[in-house]
Amino acid sequence: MPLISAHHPVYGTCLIPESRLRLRPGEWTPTFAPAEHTARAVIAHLRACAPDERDRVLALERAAARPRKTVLALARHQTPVAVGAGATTTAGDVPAETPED
Amino acid sequence: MNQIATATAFYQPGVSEIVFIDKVAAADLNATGAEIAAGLRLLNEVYDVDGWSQSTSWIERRRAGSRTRTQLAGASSFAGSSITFTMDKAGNDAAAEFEENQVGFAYFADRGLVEGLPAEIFQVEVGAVVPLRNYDNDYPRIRVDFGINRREKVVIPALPA
Repeated sequence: MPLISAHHPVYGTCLIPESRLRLRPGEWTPTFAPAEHTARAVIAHLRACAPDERDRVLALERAAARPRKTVLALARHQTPVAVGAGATTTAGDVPAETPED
Repeated sequence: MNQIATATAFYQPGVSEIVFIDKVAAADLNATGAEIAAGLRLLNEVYDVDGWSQSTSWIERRRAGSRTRTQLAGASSFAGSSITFTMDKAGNDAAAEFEENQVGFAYFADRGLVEGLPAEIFQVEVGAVVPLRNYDNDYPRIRVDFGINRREKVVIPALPA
């Protein structure tokens, strides 16, 4: 049984046994691995996720053997905009979506 | 002359608590109430606990001019530590909670999980998760071996209601 990367509301991201997702559904959420998804799916995830998750996914994409330009372009073109107390979202120019580079 | 306080002895089962915490943010390993509350309470399925102690190797100081050989404190090492759990027939047991190379923190609240009381926290890595099969008049168990990387004495914080 492998250890997988998962996110917990208190602990953040940890490596946990995959079976924990079955034992306590809703407590742990598997973290998004950009290498396992198309550029379109990664961009959709980046638009919807929290800023710290966005930074984590973009760092993984940058570290990949072949980083996808469309995904990294999203990081360059988007500007964080504060919303409410402490929360942030993104706005600005968004590159055209393509299935893959 | 001062007298050591009279201890109130107690029976540990039903009082103590062991919590496995996946991550502790503080560098001094003082887990927050939220981190402890989000942890996994183990004791209800614990069959036995072994190790979880630290010992010192003593170096003998020799002096040819004396018959007495004194001691210098040498290396300090952790005992091989494990927790043995009851095996669940459906597989919802320690084997599903722990995996080799998993890291985390074992929080031992020997006097109970009560704010202000002392506790110990061990930074651990899971070494092996081993089924202990039994075909005699006993039930099967799972032993989880832990390697200890650090041990700290802490005070239990306020826990969320």
